[in-house]
This record gives sequence, C-alpha cells and structure tokens, in this order.
Amino acid sequence: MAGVHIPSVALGRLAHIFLFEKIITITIKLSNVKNNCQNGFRVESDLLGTKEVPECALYGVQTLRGMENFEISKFRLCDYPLFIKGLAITKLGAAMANHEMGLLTDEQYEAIAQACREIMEGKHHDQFPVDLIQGGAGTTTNMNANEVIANRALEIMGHKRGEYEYCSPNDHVNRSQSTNDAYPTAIHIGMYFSHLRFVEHYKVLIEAFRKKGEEFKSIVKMGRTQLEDAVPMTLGQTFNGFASILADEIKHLEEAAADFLTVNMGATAIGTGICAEPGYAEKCVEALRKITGWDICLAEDLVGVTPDTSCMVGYSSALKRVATKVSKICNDLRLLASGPRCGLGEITCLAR
Amino acid sequence: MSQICYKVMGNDVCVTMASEAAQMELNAMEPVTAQCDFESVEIMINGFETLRIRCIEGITANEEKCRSYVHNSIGVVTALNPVIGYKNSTKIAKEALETGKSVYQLVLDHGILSQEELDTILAPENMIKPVKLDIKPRKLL
Repeated sequence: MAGVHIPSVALGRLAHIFLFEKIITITIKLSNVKNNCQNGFRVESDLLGTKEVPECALYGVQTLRGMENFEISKFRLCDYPLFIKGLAITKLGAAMANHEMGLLTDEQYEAIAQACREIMEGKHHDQFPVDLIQGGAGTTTNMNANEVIANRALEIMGHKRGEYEYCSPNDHVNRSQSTNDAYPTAIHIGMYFSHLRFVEHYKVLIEAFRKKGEEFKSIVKMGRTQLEDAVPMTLGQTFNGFASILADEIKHLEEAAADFLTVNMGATAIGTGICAEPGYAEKCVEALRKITGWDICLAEDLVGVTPDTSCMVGYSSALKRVATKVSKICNDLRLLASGPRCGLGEITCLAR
Repeated sequence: MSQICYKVMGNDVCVTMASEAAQMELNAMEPVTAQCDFESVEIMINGFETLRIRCIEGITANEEKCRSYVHNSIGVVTALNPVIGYKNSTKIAKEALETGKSVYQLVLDHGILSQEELDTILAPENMIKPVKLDIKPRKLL
C-alpha cells in the first residue's frame, strides 16, 4: 500500500533544523541587522579581538558580543524606555561630576551630555538591542549605554563612529564608574519613573471604582460570608470597599519606591571607590538631584549596599500586595456578574 | 487581570530568589530582578487600563435582582434582629426555611411590623451603618 513516505534523510534534516533552530535564529537576526545597514561595517576591537559592527549602529563591539552571548528572552532593553532613561540620566550625572573634576574636556562633556539628553527624550532607543536577562551582573547593559552615548557624542563632536580615541565608551562615558554602581543606579532611577507612572494609572482605576460606589449607593443587596447569606448592604459599599482597599496600598508603594532614591554612585567596583576620585560620589549624586529634581541621596555604606537588591524585593512585594487585592476584586466581580440565568447576576458587565 | 496578578506574584518569587543569591560583594542576578520589576509595573498598568475601560466603567447593577435576594434571604432577619428581638428573629428564620416564604412576607403576615416600618429598617441609608430606629415590634411570637 502506498503511503506517505518520509525518507529518513529528510527526518534527520528536520531534527537537525529543530535542534539548531536557535543558532539559525541568532544568525538570521544578526544578518538582518547587517542587511538593514546600507553603509557597510566598521571594524571595532576589544580584548577578545576584532568584530564588524554595522556602520549604522550607535552601539559597538561589546554590545554585539552581548547580543551573541545572551539570546535568552524576548525582553530587550529597547522595550523598556524608562530603564534606558535611567541609564541616560545616570551617565549624564556621572559626566557632570567628571567634568566638574576636570576629568572630561569641555568638548567631551558637552557632546556626552547632549547624547544623554537625546536618549532621555526618547531618541536612539532602537540602539539598545541587548537581552534584559544576561550574565555579568548587567555589564552588557552598561556597555550598551556607554557605546551608544560615546558614538553619538563622537558624531556631535564631528568625528566618525568608532573613533574612540576622542571619546571612549570605557575611558570617558564610563569614567569613574563600574557596572556595579551605574547599573543599579540606572535601575533605581528607571524604577522610580515606573513607580510614578504606575501610581498615576492606579489612581485612575481607584477613581473608577469610587464612581461606581457613588452610582450604586442606593442599591440594596445581600452581603455574603463564605458565600452564604450574611446581612444586607449596598452595592455602593461593595465598590467603595474595592476603591478603599486599593487606595490603602499607595502609601506602601510610596514607601517601597522611596528606597530607589538611595543610590551607590561612586561605588566602583565593589564599593571601595577605587576607580573614582575623592568627592566624585557626592558630586555625582548632586548632579542626579539636579537632573531629576528628586531627593536622591548617597548610600551610607557603599560596600554593604552594592550587592544588596532589597529595594527591588521591596517594590516587587508592594506590587504583589496590589496584585493580591486586584485579583480578589476581579474574582468578586466574576461572582457578582455570574449568570445571566443561573448565577448571582447582581451586576452586568457591558458586552465588549 | 487575574492572570497578570499571578504573573506579578511569580515575578515577586523570582526577585526574592535572585536577591537572596547575592554572593560576597556583588549580586550577579540583578538583571532578572530588573526585568521582573519593570515587567510587573508595565503589565499591571496595561491591565488596569483594560480592566477600567473594558469592564469597570461599563458595569450596571441589576437592582431588582439584588433587592429580591435581600427579601428572600434568611440573613435579612439579622438586620431585623435589633428591632424585633432574637426570639422573633429565630422563629421567623425557622419558618422561612421550612415554608420557603420570604422573611419580609412572614414578618408582615405575623403582624410583627408594618410594611412601612419594614421598609424603613431595610432602607439603604439605615443598613450601611449603625443606626438607632424608633421602631418597636407590634407583638411577640
């Protein structure tokens, strides 16, 4: 009987394709970057050797290595604009302090500052392609920022991309810093922006519950305990209750977010400050205060805080409190809207 | 929205474990904590907007259904208890359970309260907070 016969060679090939799909994907992605570039490549080098970097890229060889090393998730730095903004602000603050201490020329400083401001305004974000999940404690992200800022600064100074002798990602943009202080500081600033945005949207949601509370204030319904009849109440009380328990969380969110305003700039490389000059850390934090208008302060014990990410735990925990309540409310809404014929049917959600 | 909340709770576990994993002078797991926290904020904001616009703002109350549950519920005797007393309340509750009649109707049938008095007790403004009503039961069962 004739059937569909797949030659074993073809099966083997399928398996091969499946197994090496990831490698192929990476190759295709990198070649897309190359193909999209009309102007060819420039050759950049680092201690591992040389690499062709697309001429149109503001990032450089170390970002390219990061892209190859960490093809992990679909979460790319360019999808997190507030994180990128935090990086740009951190780099600008460091440049201001370095310039004040005479560690950057006026020309270098002006160019680096303009590059940072452009990124803060939302420009060049497509130049941050690295995966958010990466080894190396964030070095890939830090170098991505250093390279984009350096190359943009070079353009502003009238030089070609990659001419790092005039403005280097490591020696100038990353001056007096290491990943271990610049990276957490950028996260803190980015997360504080995220927090402000979060609370703004959160308050609008709370207001929506309040409005329903007012709208339903005369509607008498049964309250329930363990899903059994309890005593009468109003539907307005139900919705006001939702609004109130959500509003209670704002103070916890604020408290958790306040920890983001303590930073460890100057904590190179493990907090001893060995790669920074005396007074740099204070000047840098002062610059960050000036840029953001926030009450940012320097951590007291730089060695202690550098490996400490408890403010990330604190904010995550505050978000979890909100999530727990929001999900409880959604469960209640599902019960109250159950039916239309065989459920509680006390409320109706608009058909969408 | 609930699925987003579960994701946020999961991210919280991840952040906790990654933060615990700091060794000596560095926490090399910080990138994943950043990914989790930024993601949690982002998806919660998106969820809030979706929940508000596509659900909360369009919710309407089924007033008649809500009221009928109150009138048919045995639990409503708890609201009448301060006025008609514990003995009346338990007897009415028992009878309501056995006969399937409503508490509201039984109180009227037994002449314990007038309809006007009943409606006063069960008025929304009198049920949402502690109130003192000048109503006495007309008889004891």
